[in-house]
Amino acid sequence: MIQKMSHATIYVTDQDQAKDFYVNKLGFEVKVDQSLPTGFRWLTVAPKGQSELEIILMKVGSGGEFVKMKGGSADNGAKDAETVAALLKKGMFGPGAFNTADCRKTFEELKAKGVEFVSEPKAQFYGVEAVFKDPFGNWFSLTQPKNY
Amino acid sequence: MPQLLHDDTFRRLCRGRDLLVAEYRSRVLLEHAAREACLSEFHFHRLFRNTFGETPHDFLTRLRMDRARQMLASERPVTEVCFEIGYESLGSFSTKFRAQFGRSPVEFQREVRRIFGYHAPWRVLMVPGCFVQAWTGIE
Repeated sequence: MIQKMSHATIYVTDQDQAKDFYVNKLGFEVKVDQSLPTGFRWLTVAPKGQSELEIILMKVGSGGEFVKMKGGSADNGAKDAETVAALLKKGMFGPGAFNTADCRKTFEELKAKGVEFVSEPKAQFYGVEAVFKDPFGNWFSLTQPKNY
Repeated sequence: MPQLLHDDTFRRLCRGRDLLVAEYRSRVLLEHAAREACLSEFHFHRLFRNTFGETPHDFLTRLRMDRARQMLASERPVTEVCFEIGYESLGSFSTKFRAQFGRSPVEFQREVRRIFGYHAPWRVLMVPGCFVQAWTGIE
């Protein structure tokens, strides 16, 4: 029986920029930042209060070789990477939701740091929610749950 | 869903935790971190455990041991690793390391060499192979 989710992937087009955004703007901490001899960089971060789930900041473009090895077709590797990057930029990916104890306060703080918000804090039936984007187009819900 | 901590309290708690991270090599007293968080030692300890799922002491030990594991895998001498992560005695470092990973630092280093050779210390970080494969195509 599966008991936990330990890692989740967020695709980015620049891992240095991603690290700067998630650590210096969102206040996350780096869990692992390890470059392998092959050029692969394993970069994971997490909010400081969360030890069980690591977010993998994965560079767009990896994956084609794996698909091919498993019998799939990935003949247009570079083109596929471009397509994913373009879809990211268009805001087609919403990888998840983050919780905060004070949505309006966090909104002001992040906005002051230059984080781009798609929508300002609004009262919803489940709490107060704002939506922000990372520099690549991934968008996230920032929610203050109602039971808080 | 467990209740979130009040925003200001969480922030102060993070400050105390950051201090433990920044000074993990030195013998940081709980009192010092609690002061950074503007909390009494008792409350710091209790809130830290409730919020981060481990006591400040366990957190610090885990940090030190993870760092030790990485340094040992990178072929650093055991004595050097011991002092680098803030232990003053090789005996207590070895005991703690064994309790955490089930083998002494020397045994761990020997095992890493046996399994991975001398040139692949990154493997012990346990980057899932499927992700490496996805990038490199090497099975």
